[in-house]
Amino acid sequence: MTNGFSPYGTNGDGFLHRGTPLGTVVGGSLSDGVEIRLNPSGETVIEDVKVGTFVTIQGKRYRFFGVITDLELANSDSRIRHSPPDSDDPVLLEVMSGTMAYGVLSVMPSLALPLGSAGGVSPSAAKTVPSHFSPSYSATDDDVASVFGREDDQHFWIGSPLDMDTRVCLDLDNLVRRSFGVFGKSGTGKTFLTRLLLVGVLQGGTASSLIFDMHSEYGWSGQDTDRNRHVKGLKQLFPSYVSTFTLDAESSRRRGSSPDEVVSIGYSEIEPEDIELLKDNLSLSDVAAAACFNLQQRFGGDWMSQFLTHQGQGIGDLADDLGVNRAALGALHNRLSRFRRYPFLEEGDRHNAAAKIIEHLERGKHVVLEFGRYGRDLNAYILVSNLLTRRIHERYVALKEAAEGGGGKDPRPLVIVIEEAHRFLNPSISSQTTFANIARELRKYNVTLMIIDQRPGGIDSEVMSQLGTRFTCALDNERDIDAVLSGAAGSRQLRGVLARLEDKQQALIFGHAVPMPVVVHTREYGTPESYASLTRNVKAGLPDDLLEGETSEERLERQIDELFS
Amino acid sequence: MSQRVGEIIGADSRVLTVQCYELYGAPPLGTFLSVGEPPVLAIVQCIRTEPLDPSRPVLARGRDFDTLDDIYRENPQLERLLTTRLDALIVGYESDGRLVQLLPPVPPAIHAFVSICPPATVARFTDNLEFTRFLLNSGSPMADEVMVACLRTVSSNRSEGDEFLRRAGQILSKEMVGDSARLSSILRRARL
Ligand SMILES: Nc1ncnc2c1ncn2[C@@H]1O[C@H](COP(=O)(O)OP(=O)(O)OP(=O)(O)O)[C@@H](O)[C@H]1O
Ligand SMILES: [Mg+2]
Repeated sequence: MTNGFSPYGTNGDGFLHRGTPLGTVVGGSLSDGVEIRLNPSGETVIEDVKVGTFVTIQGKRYRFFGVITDLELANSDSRIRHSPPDSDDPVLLEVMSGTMAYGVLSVMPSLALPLGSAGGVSPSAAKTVPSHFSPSYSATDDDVASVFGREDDQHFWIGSPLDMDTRVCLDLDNLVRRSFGVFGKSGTGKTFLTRLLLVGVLQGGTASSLIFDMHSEYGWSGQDTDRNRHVKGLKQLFPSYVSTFTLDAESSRRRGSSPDEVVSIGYSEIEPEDIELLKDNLSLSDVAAAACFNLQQRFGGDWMSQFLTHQGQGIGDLADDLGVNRAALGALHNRLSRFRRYPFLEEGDRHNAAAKIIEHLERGKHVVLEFGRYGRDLNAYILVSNLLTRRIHERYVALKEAAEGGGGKDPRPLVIVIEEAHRFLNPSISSQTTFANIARELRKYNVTLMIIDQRPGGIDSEVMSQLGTRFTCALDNERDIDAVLSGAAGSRQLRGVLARLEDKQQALIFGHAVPMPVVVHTREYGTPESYASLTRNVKAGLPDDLLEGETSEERLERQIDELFS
Repeated sequence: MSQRVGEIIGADSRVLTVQCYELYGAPPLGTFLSVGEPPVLAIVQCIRTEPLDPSRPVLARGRDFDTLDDIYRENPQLERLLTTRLDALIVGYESDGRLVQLLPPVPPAIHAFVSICPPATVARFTDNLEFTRFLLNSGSPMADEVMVACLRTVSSNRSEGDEFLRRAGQILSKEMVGDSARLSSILRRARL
């Protein structure tokens, strides 16, 4: 669509009307959205109009903003369907199209701005619909800016509306205030979008992030498999704000990443509930999983290594002793023995990886935990993420409660990023997991989640409903689409939009971080220019005291570093 | 000077009845007529030839003749017993030098001269196609045929060709939103 020229002049509300209207409002309702009949004589034919495009409607009292949610070929005489004009009669075809046969756009007017309001007033949720025959226009750059704000410290440029070059910005403060999610089937750009969002969180400066980096693609560098090149990770872009931890030092080294810490975890840190979470993956029966609690009762904190020292007949005897089913305990032993293969699991209790992570987080750092080769092992990913998150969450709860009681200050807000979220948050286990608690208790303890998943249908609907903002790339499974849209205003209309997203680098965004649902072409990530523009705002935008515990010399050194790196 | 074809013998606000000076001297269906001064414009919508005296019905006379011409040559009185009359639908008039597509406040006088409308005036008048509504809504059973005839003559005299028909079609389609068959029949036949 063209963002035409020939301005019609301003209309008292400071907006330029560009070009001729797309069409006029001819019907509709607040609940279903309005119908706009495409102008019969206009230059625009229905094929120029795309679902998901951003349009404005000039009412008598308000200027409305909305997205096109559906397109329809309508007619004034249904006989056209049965006896269409001869296709070799151009005059007749031309005469009928646009008059007897015409296009209708369905538009959800989400926002309204009173006409004549001063500049800087932002539109609010539409509580009415534009009156009959109000003209509708394709949105201009000014429209987009007036809705999504201009890019600045607190507004992060995430992409552009379809067929426009303008920047759609996220309100970073609203984004991190609640948990949020990134969804989409494989290869649609979740990882790239997540990288951008992480830069946004970093730029916003109010929260730290902890990323359980399954495929080791956020920390030092990642793959652009389509273009066959490497893209930079957070650490390369923001060396002084990001700490990388690794479970697999060797793999990190091979990839050229020099991690700040190598994580090891003590057997004694593993709790029965960690195993409970792995029940399905390890194909353990309920009885077998529950036996962990008996073991813990018997052996205390070190239950796991103690249990693993038992062999053969010893296991059977232990089962009798504990009063649990022999076969179940045998199965448990068999499965847990696999953990012996994880070199990051060690005897002893001097490990305290969680404490180290917290230490970095409290210094205002963003922590990426690279899983290296263990990322391919879902059990390792779930075990470690859950275990560390539980400990960190406990610590945050303690800190927060202390702060409320007047002892110390609030912990710095934390966003925990997990992939394959449905493994942690599916309805059958989510009632017990720390992750579900975090999602449910909102920001009470200053911890929120960012969940990345290609199977949102597998996530507990209660957890989904807690997400403040949802970013969704293309999805094609009905159940997944339903899950992502559940509870969203206008979900029925958004469905059509979501179903037609392009396969790559396009996302539908709705929720707290944006004033209205919008489809964007995601901002480019991976070119030298993209890095330059991503880092620009952060240097200017971060508060000086961000890096707590840094001396002024250190800060100076860092700033010099950044200037020349 | 435009060609005078007859004069008004009956008039109401919508339809004029014209007696032609010549037997069979009516201009073709759909022709624009100019009536009186300042002119009222009307379109020929029905032509009929009939006995001057309605009480003296026409008799068949051809049994012993070979051709139609022979009948008329051997019965010269026919020229005075028969007459050609036509109905014309008023579509507009000239007012202060402007052509308006409205009905005149009063219809033309009886005996007002009727001539074929000069092509330049027709061209000027048909720049605007609102008048087609008069034709479509004339209530005449032949309304569509008259429409077709009118579009055919006008378009053959205009240089735009199909573009004119396109414009006409757009106006017509607004009038006939629910009737695509009627519209397509008119447009198709206007171009035969
Ligand atoms: N914002 C972007 N900038 C540049 N390229 C992008 C962007 N978004 C997506 N792409 C392209 O799309 C490809 C797939 O994106 P990505 O790896 O993020 O998909 P994914 O959804 O994470 O897939 P998977 O589920 O397999 O992990 C990338 O390799 C890249 O070429
Ligand atoms: Mg990915």
